[in-house]
Amino acid sequence: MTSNHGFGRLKELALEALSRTSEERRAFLDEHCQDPELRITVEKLISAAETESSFLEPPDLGPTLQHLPAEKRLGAYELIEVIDSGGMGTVYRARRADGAYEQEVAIKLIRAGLLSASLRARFERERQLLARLQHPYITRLIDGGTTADGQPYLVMEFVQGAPILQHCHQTHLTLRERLLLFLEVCEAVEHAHRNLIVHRDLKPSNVLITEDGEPKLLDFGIAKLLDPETETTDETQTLLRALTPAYASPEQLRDEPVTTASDVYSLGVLLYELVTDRHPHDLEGCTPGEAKRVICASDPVRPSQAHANRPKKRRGPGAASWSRRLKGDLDNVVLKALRKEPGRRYATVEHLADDLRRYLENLPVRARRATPLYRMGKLVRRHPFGVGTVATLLLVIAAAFGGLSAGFARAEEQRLLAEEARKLASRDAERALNEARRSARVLGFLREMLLFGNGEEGRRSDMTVREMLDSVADSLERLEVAPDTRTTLHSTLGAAYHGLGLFDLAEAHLRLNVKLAREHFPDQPRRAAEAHSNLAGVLLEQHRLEEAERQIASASERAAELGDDDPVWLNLLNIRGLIHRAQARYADSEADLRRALALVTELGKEGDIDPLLLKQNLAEALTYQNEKKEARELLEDCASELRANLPTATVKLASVLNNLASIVSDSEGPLSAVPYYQETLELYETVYDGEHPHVAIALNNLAKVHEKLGELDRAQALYERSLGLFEHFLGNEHPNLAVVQLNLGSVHEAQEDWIAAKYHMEKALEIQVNSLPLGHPATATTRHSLGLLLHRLGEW
Amino acid sequence: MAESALPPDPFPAIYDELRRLAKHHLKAQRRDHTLQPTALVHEVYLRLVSGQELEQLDRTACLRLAARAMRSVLVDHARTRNRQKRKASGERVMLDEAVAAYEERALDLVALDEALEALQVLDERLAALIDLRFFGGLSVEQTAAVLGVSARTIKREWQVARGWLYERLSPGERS
Repeated sequence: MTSNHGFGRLKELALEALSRTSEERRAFLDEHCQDPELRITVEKLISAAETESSFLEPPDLGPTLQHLPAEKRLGAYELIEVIDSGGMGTVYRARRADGAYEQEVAIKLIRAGLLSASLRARFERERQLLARLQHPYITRLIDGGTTADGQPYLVMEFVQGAPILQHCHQTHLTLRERLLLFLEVCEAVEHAHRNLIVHRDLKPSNVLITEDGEPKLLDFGIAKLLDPETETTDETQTLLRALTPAYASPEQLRDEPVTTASDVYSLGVLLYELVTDRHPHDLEGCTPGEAKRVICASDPVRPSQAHANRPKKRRGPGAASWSRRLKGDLDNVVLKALRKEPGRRYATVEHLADDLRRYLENLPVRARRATPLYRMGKLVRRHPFGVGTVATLLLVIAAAFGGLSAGFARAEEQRLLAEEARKLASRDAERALNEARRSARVLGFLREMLLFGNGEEGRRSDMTVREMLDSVADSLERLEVAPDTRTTLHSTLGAAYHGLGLFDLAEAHLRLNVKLAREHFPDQPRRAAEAHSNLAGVLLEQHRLEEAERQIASASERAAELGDDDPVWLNLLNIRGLIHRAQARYADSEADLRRALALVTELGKEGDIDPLLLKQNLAEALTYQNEKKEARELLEDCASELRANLPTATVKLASVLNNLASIVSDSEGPLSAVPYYQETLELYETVYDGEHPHVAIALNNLAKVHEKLGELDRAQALYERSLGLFEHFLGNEHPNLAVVQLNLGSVHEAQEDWIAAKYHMEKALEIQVNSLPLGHPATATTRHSLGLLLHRLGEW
Repeated sequence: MAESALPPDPFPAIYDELRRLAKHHLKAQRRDHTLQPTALVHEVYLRLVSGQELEQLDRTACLRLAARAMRSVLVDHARTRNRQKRKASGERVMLDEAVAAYEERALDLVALDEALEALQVLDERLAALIDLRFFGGLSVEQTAAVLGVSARTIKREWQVARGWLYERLSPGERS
C-alpha cells in the first residue's frame, strides 16, 4: 500500500487536480505525474472523491457537537450536567450563576435551527402563556431566552424524581395506589386543558414522581411551542414527528389537528401501562413507520388479557387477582381512552378521571354506555338543523351530564359565552351578545337540572342520552322557566330528539317552540322563521309533506321580513329544497339550493350551514333532472374536501360517496360503483356501530349493485338486513321501506320465486300509496314492476 | 527509562466516562426515551470544558477528543454486535439504532474504523477531519476553525479523505 511519503504526494496531486476543471486536470497530471502507476491511483482517488453519495454524511441524530454552547454558561445560568437529550434539544441541570437564588433549574436548549427567525416572536408569546400555567403537579416554566448565537432555551423548575412506571415498580404500588396516582396526573392535565393548553407529548418519562410521592408533569405545551405549524420545513417536521410514536395518538401520527383528545389518548397509554406493565401495542423493534401503522390500525389487547399473558417470571403473587380486577369495567375505561377516533374517546380528561373514580368506588362506569352519547354527537353534527348554538349546547349538555363539577360547567359557560359573542360580533354585536347570554342561561338551567337531579331517583350514573334528554324535558314541563330560555330549550331538545331519530318527540318540542315564539316574541321574525323551519325539517323526515310545506311557507313569510340576505334563509332554503325534492319538484329544489349556495358564499363565515351539505343536496336535485355531469363534479368536490377532514367528516363523506356511487353506477356501470358503496357502508357502520337508518340506506344501495351484477343471494341478504333496520327505526309506513320492498321483490322475481316477489312488491305499493303524493314517480315505478310480474304470473 | 514530558493522555479517561454514562443512561432507558448517543458526547464535552483536571485542554482539543470518543463507542458497539447475536435489551436496541444510522452512511463501522486507523498513520489531519465532521457532526466552517485552516481547504481535503475511504471500503475495489 501507499507509504507515508507516497500518500503525501498522492494527496497533494489529488488536491491540486480537484481544484482544477476537468480539462485543466489532464494537462496538470500529464505534467506533474509521470509515474503511470501513481497516475492510475490519483485518477481513481479523484473519481471516488467526486462520487455523489451519502457516504460519510453525518447522520441526523439530534444534538451534535455543533450545538454545544461554547462555554458552560447560558445567560444567567451555569450548566452543571446533561440530564436528557432528544430530537428537540438537550436538557441541562443548571443553577443561577449570580447566586440570585439557590434553587436548581432544568434548561432546555432548543436544537439550533429548529426555530426560524420568524417563529421566534411566536415562541416568545407562547412561552409567556405557558409561564402562567401554575399547578402543584406541573413543573413551572421559569424563564427563557436566546443564546448569543440565536438558540432559544427554556428554563424550568428542576424536579428530582423517578419516571412514573419506574416509581410504581420500585415502590411496589398496588393497583389501587397506581390508579390514585394516575388520578393526580389527570388533575394536572385537566388544569392545563382548562387553561387551553394541551400537553401533546405525555409519556411516562414526562411524569416524574417526587420523593414525596407527588407527580410532576414535565414539558407541558412544549411540543406546541416548538411546532412550526405553517412555517415549516421538512426537516423540523420529521424531527418533531419522530419524537415519541409510542405515546402519540393516531391523529398525531397522521398529522391531523391535535386537541385535548390527543392527551386523553396518551393518558390512556399511560394508564394501560400502569395497570398491565405493558405497552398497548407491541412495538418492539418497530421502525417509526411500522409503529405508526400498528398504532393506527390494530386494536390493543384488553388490559386484563394483557396482564394475564405476562411472562410467568414477571408475575408476582396475586397476579391472577390483579388480572381479574382489570376485567370488565377497567378494561372498558382504558380502551375507551384509547379509541382510534378522537370523538369516541372520553370527551375530557375529567370524564376519564370520573370513570376511574367510579370504578374505585364500585359504581358502574360509563365507558360501556358510551355509544348513545357518541352517536348523538355525530348525529347532531351532521344534522341539517344543527345551528351552531344548538349543536354546541347539546355537546355541552352531554359534557355537563358527565358528572362535571359546577365550577367546570361555569367555566364552560363563560367560555361559550365569549366564543359565541366573538363568533357573531361581526354582524350584529348586540344580537350576538343577547344570544350568548341566552345560551348561558339555558346552560345554567341544564346544569341545575342535571346536577341536582330530577325527582325521586336523582341523577343516575348510567343514564343514556335518551334518558338524559327525557329528564330535561320532564323538568322543563314542571318548572317555571322564562319564555326566552324555554323556547331555546324546546328547540334544543327538538334538535336532539331529531338527531336521535325520535321524530315524534322532536316534533312535540319543535311545535312548542313555534307556539312560544308566536305568543311571546311576535316581533322577532328570525326566531319565528327558525322555529318554523326546524319543525318543517322534522315533518319532512316523517314524510308529512303537506304539513312540512305549510311550515316552511310560514318560515319563508317571516324570513322575508328580514330581507333576502339574512342568514336565517340558509337553513330554510335547504329544508325547502329538500321538501321540494321529496315532492318531485326537482327544478324548484334546484332553485332553492342554488340560492342558498349563493347566499352562503355571500355571507362567508357568518352562514351557519355547511356549504358542502348544500352542494350535496344540489347535486341530488341535479341528478334527478339528469344533469349528472354537474352533479358528479359537485360531489367529487365535496368528497375531496371531506377526505381532508377525516375522521370528523366521516358521516358527511359517507353520504357524499353514496350519492356519487349512484351516478358512477349509471354512467360507468354497477361494477365501478361497488367500491363507492362498499366504502359508504363501512363508514356508516363504523360511525353508528351498525345501527342507524343510514346503515340501512347503504345496505340497500350496495345490495342494488350486487343485484345488477347478478349476485342475487348476496343482494337478497343485504336487502333483508336493510329492511330490518328500516323497520326498527322508521316503523312500517315510511317510503324508504317501499324502496327496499320493491328491490327485494325484484330479486325474488329474478330468482323465480314468484310468490315472494309478489308479496314484497305489493307491500311496496301499499306503503307508497299511503305515504307519497298522488302520481309520485316512485309509485309509478312500483306499479309498473308489479304489473309486469302479474302479467308473467298470469302466463305461468 | 525516559520520563514523559507530555501530560497524561486524557482519552482513556474520557472513553471510560462515556461508556459509564452510556450504561447509566441506557439502563434508565425506556421505549419512549429519545436519548441519542451523540448526546453522550455532549455530556462528556461539558464535563471536559468545566472539568478541573483537564483545564489545560482548549475547546479544539475537547472537540477532537469528544468526536474521537463517540467514534470509539459506536465502533465498539458495532464490533460486539457483530460477534454476538442480538439480544433485546434496552441498551442494545438503542445503540443498535445509532449504529444503524451511522452505517447507513458508512457501510461498515468496523471497517471504517480500521480504514481510519490506516489514514491516521498516513495523514493525521485527514483522519481528524473525518472524526470531527462525521462523528462529531461539525459543519465545514466549524471544522475549519478547529483545525485552523480555511473552509475551502477543508472542503477539498474532505473530498480527498472521503474519496480515499470510499475507495478503500467499496466492495470490489479492495485489493
